[in-house]
Amino acid sequence: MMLAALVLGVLGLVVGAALGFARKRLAGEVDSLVVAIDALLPQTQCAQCGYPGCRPYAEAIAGGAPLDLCPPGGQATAEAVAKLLGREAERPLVSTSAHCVALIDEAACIGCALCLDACPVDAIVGANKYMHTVVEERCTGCELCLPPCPVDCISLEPIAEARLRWERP
Amino acid sequence: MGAAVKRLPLPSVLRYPLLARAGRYAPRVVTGTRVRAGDVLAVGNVPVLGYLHAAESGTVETTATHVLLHPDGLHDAAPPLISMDLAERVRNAGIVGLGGAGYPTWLKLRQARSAGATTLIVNAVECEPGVSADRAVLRNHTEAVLSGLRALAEYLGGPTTLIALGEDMDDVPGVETARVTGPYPSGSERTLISRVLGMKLQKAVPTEVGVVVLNVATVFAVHRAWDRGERLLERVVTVQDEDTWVRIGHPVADLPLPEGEVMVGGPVTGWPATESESVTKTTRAVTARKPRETSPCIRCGWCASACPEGLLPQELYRSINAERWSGKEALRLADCVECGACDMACPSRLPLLATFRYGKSERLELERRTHDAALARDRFTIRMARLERRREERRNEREARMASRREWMQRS
Repeated sequence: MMLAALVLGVLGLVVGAALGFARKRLAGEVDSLVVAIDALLPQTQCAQCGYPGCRPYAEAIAGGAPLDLCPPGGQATAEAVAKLLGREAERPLVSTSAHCVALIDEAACIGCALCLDACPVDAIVGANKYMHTVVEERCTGCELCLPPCPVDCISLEPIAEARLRWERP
Repeated sequence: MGAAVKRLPLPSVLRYPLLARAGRYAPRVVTGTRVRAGDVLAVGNVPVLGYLHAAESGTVETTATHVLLHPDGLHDAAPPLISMDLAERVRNAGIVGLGGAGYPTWLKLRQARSAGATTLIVNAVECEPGVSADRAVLRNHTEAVLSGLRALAEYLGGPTTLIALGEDMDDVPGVETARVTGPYPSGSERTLISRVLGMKLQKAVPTEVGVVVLNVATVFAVHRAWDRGERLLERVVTVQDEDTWVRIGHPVADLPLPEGEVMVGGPVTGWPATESESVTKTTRAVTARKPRETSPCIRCGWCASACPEGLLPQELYRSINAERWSGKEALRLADCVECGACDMACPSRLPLLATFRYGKSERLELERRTHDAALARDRFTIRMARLERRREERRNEREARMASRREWMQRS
């Protein structure tokens, strides 16, 4: 009887110490949940959700923000995040149309540099009083450069297909 | 060329699609440009695509998706290619693997030469039932093929050369041959190497183990480029049952075909022709067949026994249709060699191969999106850090200014 209590007591102490040690030393990254949510977001950085980018929205979701704020991700993203968090997918917004990138009409550009600050991924190259251009491969099509342009010389163009794709039979 | 293989009459327009399976071509001509046969029309955006040449002289019209060439029937030709080493000549002639994969021959030759080639196999084993373009080339242009083979062997530093033949093909005098027997697909490169040389490649590329396999039509094209300076402007295509010289760019709709569903690329591994489909460098065959009636999968497992790669086609088929990309079976999709053996085995006549091709391109698209997203995420993170740093700097500056002003006030 005494022996059993002793064994169990010592076992409890040892396991408790091990768990305490593991909690301190082997702790997961604090923001691993945020990273996991961020990985599911489309990374358009368009701020249509009301947060300044995808990562801030991921942090907000981890804190309980609604899941239906991301139009570029649409239904697929909302469902994926809901599945990850074990939450109900709220009525998701529909994804926008074909993937577009910004195109600057270089003849009309006055070199005001206002769009440079608006671009969340630094995809616009230019300097004051010099012509600007969009680096197509880096543009996410977020449309944030459209409102600041004083001469409305930026438009969104659907991107050309990279290759011929097989169609679903 | 040989009297036995006819050449199709000149169509009213030759059509060159700018979008390919591997990437895009960028046009080097504009609407109204007059070109000669052999002039460059477009250049690929990836090395795998290479050059696209005009098959005839005429006037060009470019659209967003195609380069159209209206032939004038004068047959003006660009000057023949001269000088250059063999690989460079082959590259400028626009020669790619004509067996179907379309891998650029110059790249294969360069790789083989630097890795050291011990064996050069000419592949004349017809890859697909119902296609006879390869044997037509070998039968009608034996001398030319052997001449191309000699040039290639010299470039590669004298490897052993042999011609791989199908079971029922005539011997080629004066050169070592090997008969390839066994179930379909004997003609696919990896299967061929294991059956002829008894080598198991596992994940290795053939050139890495010193083996070069070239399709017989490719070798013939090399002969034309090397001995006569000609570019690749036409190829032998099995049109229904007849082997015919067809110019690259010939619209599929203009080919002499019976009624039916038109399949481009052979009766087994082909795909349904679209309205604007043309003959490309890799088009082995164009066939019209009866439309297929499909029924649901009965889980018989015949496709699994037919698959040369040991995949489970029925499972793959279900994962792709459910858009499940992370499952164990879906991950093996890349191993599919697109031979179509499962299609032939399936009693329900399900479009297995077409589904796998769709799945492969969807997966590629998914990977591209993931890659782009990661890039955008990095750039956003870096930008946020930069903005934060700048705010910090400004705050520090302001504080320093305030401090100096306070100091000044106290002194005065």
